[in-house]
Amino acid sequence: MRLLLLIPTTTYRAEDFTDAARRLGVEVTAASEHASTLSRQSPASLIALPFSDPPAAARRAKEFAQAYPIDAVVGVDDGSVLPAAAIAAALGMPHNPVDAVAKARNKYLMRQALEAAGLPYPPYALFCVDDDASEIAGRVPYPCVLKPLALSASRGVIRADNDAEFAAAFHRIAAILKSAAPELEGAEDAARHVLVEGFIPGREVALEGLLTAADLRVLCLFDKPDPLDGPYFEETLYVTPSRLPAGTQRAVVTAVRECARALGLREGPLHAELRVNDAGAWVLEVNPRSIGGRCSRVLRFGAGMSLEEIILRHALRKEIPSLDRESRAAGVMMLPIPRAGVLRQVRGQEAAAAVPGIEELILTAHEGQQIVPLPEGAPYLGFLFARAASPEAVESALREAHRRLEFEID
Amino acid sequence: MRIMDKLFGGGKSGGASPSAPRTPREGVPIGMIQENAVLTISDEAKEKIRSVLDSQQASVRTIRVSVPTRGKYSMSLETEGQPRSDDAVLPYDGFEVYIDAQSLPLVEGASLKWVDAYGGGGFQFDNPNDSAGPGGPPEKKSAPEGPEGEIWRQIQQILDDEVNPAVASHGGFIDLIEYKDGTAYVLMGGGCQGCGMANVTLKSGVERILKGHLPEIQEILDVTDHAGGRNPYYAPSTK
Repeated sequence: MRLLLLIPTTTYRAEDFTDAARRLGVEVTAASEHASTLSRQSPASLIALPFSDPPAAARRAKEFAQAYPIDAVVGVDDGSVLPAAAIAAALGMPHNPVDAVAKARNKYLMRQALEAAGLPYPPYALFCVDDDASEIAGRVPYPCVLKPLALSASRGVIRADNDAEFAAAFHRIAAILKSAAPELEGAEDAARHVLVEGFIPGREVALEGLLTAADLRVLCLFDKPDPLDGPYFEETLYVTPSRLPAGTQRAVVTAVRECARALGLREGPLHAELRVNDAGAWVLEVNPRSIGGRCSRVLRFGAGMSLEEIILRHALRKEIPSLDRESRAAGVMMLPIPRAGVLRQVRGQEAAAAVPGIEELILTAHEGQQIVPLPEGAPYLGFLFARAASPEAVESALREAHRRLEFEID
Repeated sequence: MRIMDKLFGGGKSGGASPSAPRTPREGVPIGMIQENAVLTISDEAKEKIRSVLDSQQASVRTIRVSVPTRGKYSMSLETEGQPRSDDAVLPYDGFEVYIDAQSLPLVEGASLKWVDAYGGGGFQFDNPNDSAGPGGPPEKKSAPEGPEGEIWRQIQQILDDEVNPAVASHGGFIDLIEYKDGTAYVLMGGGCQGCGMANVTLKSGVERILKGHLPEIQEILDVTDHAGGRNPYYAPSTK
C-alpha cells in the first residue's frame, strides 16, 4: 500500500506522521511544497506539489499515481488539507469535499455556514484591510475580536473594547498581513480581509474527532484552563478529560457535529475549538485536521496507539482496534513566548522534567532563534507533556514545570 | 594567531575580492577579511548562493559557515541579521558569509564549489588542510573488520557520494556513527539539525537510497540532538 503524506515544510507534524506510517508498514511518498534535496534520488518517496494551487497539485498527484499507485492521501496540517482534499477527489478516494474544506479554513465562510444552518454564531462582518478603520469602529459591537482570514494559530487575532483599540488593532493586523504576504501565496484575497465578530465570553475547549462517512466519533475533549480573554489569544494549556459538567460536554459534541454537517465535512480528523457559557456551546472553528503543534503526543488510544496512526488507519481503511483514549488524565502546555528577542538559553530543563507527572519537555525553538510573541508571531517555544491521575494534577504539574523554566531572551 | 590578526586587522581588502569591504561596526569586535584569505567560492557556487538567497521570503543576504569538527562543514542561511561578537564577516558580491571564531581556523584555505552530483547538485567544500592541522581529522568510530565493516564502508560511501552533496545545498550533512545488526545510526548536522523536515529526509530519502543499494539494511536511526540545532533549514511554525 502506498500512502501520500502532504507535509508542509513548516509543520510540526512531520515526525509523528512519518513514524506512524512506519509502524503501519506502508510505503510512504512524502510531498512538500518545496522539493526535497533528495527528491531526484528518491522519486517514488519524495515529491514536490504546489500546495497553494490545489487543482495543480491534484493533476500532478494523479500523474504520479499512474507510476506509483496511491491508496490514501493525508494532509498532515492546516497548510495541506486543501490540496489533500483535491487530490483525494481526483483519485476517487473517500475524503472531505474540497468546498467543505475551503469553508472550514475560512472563518468568514464558516460563520456564514453556521448562520445558514441556524446554529449559534456571534455578530460578524468582513472588512478589507483598505477600509477606513475609524469609520468601521463606529459600527461594530464591543467587545469584539478582529481575526485575519488568512492566518492561523491565533496569529493576528486581537480583541478590541472601544473605537481606539479597534482602530489600532485593525492597522496592526493590516501590517501583519503585509509582512506575511510571501507566505500567503495562493491566499491573496483572504490575506486582504479581516473578520470582526462579537467577543464570546466563557471557557474555551477543544474537541478532537474522527469523521467516517459524516459520522463523528469523539476522540477527546480538552479543557483550556487558562482564560483566553485577550487582547491576544495565546494558547497554553490543554488538559483532558474535560472537567465540564456532562451536560455541557454533550452540548459541545452536539455543536461540533452540527457544524461539521453544516460545512459538509465527511471524512478524516477534525479539530474543533469552542467557547461555552450560560447560553450554550459556541463553535469558534471546526478544522478538517488533527490538533496542531506537537500536542497530539499527549494522546494514546487503546493499547497505546497514537492519534496519527488512527488517522492513517482510517485513511487506508485499515482496522482501528480502539478509539478510546486511555483512562489517565493527560495534558500539554504550549510554552508561551514571554517577549520578543533572540532566544539564548533555556535554563531549568532538568528541574522542569523532574516535576512528578511530567513526561517530556520538547523545545522546538532553537538557541539563536528570533522569537516573536503574538499577535505578530506564531511558533511555540516548545511543549511540556504530563500524565497523572486527575486533570487537576496534570494542570498543576504543567504549571509547576513551566515555573521552573527560565528563558534567556535578548 | 595569524587568522585572528587578519580578522582584527582593520578590514583592509584588496586583490581579487569582488565586493568593496565594509567598515567594521564601531565598538563591535568583528572584522572584514579578504575572501580569498580564508574561503574561496567558485563563480558557480556564488551564483547558486545568490539564487538561494533571492528565493527566500525574508530578506536574507547572509550565510553562515561553521566547522564543528575539522573537515565537517555546514552552511546555512543566517537569519539573525547581525553577526555575533566573535564572527568574522566575509564579503562577496551580493552576500556575506559569517564564520564563528572557533570555526575560522578550520575554514582557512577552504574552497567552496557547486558540483553536479548524482541526479541533482550540491555545495562541496575542499580544503587541503583537512587531513592535518589543529583538530585533526573528524572523529569517527572506525569500521570494524569483517562483513559488517564492509557494509559500514559502503554506507559511508553512499552518504558521501549521493546524500551529502545534496543535503549540503540546505547546509546539512549526515554522518554514519554506527552500524550494527542491520541498523545504521546516523547523526544529522548543520541545516539538518533541528530541521522540521529532518525525519522526512531521513526516512523517505536516505533510508530509501541506502536500502536500494544495500538490502541488508533494515533501519536507520537518528541519534541527533535536534534541540541543539542552531540553524535548521526549515523551522516549524504552523498548525
